[in-house]
Amino acid sequence: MKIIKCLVVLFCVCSLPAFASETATNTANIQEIRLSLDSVWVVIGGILVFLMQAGFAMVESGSVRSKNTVNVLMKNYMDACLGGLVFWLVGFGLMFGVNSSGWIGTSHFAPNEMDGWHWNLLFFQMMFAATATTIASGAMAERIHFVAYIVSAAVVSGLIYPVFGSWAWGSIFDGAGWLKALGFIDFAGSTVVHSIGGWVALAGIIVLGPRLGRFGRNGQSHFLAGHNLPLVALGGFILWFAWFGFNAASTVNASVSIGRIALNTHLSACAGAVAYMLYALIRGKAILMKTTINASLGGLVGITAGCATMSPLFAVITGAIAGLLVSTLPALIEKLKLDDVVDAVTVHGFCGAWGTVAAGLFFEADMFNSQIVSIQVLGVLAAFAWGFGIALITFKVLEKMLGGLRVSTQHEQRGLDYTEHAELSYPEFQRDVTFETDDITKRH
Amino acid sequence: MPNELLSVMQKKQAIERGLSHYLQGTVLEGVLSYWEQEYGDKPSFVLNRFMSDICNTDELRFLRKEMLKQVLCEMSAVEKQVLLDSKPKVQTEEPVSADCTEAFFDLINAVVKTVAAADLNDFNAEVKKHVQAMGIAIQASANLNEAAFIESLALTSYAQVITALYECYCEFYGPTKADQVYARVKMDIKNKYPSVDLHYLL
Repeated sequence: MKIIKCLVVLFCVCSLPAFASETATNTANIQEIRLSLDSVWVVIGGILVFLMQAGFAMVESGSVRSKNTVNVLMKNYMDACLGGLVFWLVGFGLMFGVNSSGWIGTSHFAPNEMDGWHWNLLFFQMMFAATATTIASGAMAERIHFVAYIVSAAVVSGLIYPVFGSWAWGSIFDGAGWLKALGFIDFAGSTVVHSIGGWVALAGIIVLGPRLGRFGRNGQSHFLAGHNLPLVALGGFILWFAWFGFNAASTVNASVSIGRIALNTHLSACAGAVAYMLYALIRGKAILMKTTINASLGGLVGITAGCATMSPLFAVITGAIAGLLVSTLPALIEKLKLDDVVDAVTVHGFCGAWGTVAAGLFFEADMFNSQIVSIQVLGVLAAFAWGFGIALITFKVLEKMLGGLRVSTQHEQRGLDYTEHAELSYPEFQRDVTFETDDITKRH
Repeated sequence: MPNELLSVMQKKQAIERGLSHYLQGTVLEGVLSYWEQEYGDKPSFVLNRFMSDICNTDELRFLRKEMLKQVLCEMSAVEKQVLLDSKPKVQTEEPVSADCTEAFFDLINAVVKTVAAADLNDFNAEVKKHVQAMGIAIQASANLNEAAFIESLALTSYAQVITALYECYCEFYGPTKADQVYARVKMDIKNKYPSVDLHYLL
């Protein structure tokens, strides 16, 4: 018996190193698996965010007249293409490079050698940059020169977006942005991506002016219907779908928290649309499909900042208020004689600002803390000053060069598909309108 | 500047005219000879270097920018003249197509017919104001759909007038109705005048 016990002890002692090395191997394997899972999640997230380009393309092209459809699609397509290159070349370094000052990144420009994990992040963030860039294209549709727009898109991807991003999100290598250091909360980019895009859009529509005849000689507003509302709806669905990647993958790891983030995202979008529907019913107005889609998009934009740090109840409240903003602000913007074709300024600019403030108000660890909210407000104002300011300068400069910012009256009449791209979106369709459309907006 | 258009003589004459305000007599002749020798075969962007070479006094250095501006202005004027002279004289030599004028008249008439009676006077005035602002001379007393108005216009201005008409129509009735009216009228004109090149109009 004693011998057996000794033998067992001897066996255990001898196999200890083997166990230890197996444990170490297991830990290393688990970590590798963990890294792989996180990588897959981040890259899938990036792929979903890229799909948002298609969503925006559908929403915008469906919202314009058929004679400008190709032009809108081309703007969406090319700002992703050029924006991607510019972000790789300059934007990533400015945004995520070593940031010792807190104001700007100064390394990792045109990166060619990085470790595997940082490639994932670059890919993911490149898609975010493309999203911020494409937001402005819809607002300025039907009257902006294609080349001038693409140049402005390069400025957004290469300067406006990454510099603000460096303030709010800071470096992934060394250093923190000054806003982030103050405790600014913008989990997936209500302000960094969406508000920046919205303010660029605002600057653009101010410099461009409204479309021909959008506002009549007596100050009346002429409604311009989009040519394809099913396309707008499809775009809305695609954006909603892709937004799960936009928000949930911003965890940059495949953790258990992604479920609540996705839930908050969904609830906010639902609440936005329902809030608009109730608003329209109470006011006795028609429930317009385009505004419904925009309201849900407003909810998505709004929740983007706080989707990881607020409870579902407050996600619903955030979305509902965003929906009400979408219900009311476009009329105010119209009163100011600003022509925003897709209400990008409201959906992205103002809902992004609201969402950022809401992220502070409803921060679950410390709700309604005025200090946190004040930092959020500071971030919102800084984004406006930077995004709107630089964009305004950019558009003013472009007005003077490259043949001007706005197309000629004749080109606007003929349609930008033909004048900018020598293509027609629907060459075989006839225009047969057999009913009176003049009073269709009476219940709007 | 694509100065391959201009001969050395033309460029020299332009420079002479540009510098005549600042240099005279033998000085000007000497400068022109210097230019011909050193820069005659070079492109225009070296004019700046030429100016730096000849502005060798304080006064001339002070006036250098103005002198360069004047010379460039003269060069530009000569280029424009050369381009105008070398342009194929299709528009002035080819007789105005009667069909094209009729098509234009029909188009204007068709659009004006859709204008409400109450708005007609204002609409006429607004369109004529737009056309005049474009620098096109018109018979101001005639209405848009009158022969006198059409007769006063050159073929080359038809498209601009149609655009001005569109712009005003948009302001009065909105772009949606304007697009609908124009699309319908365009099809009618195309069917009625198959031989007319609609590029003159739309």
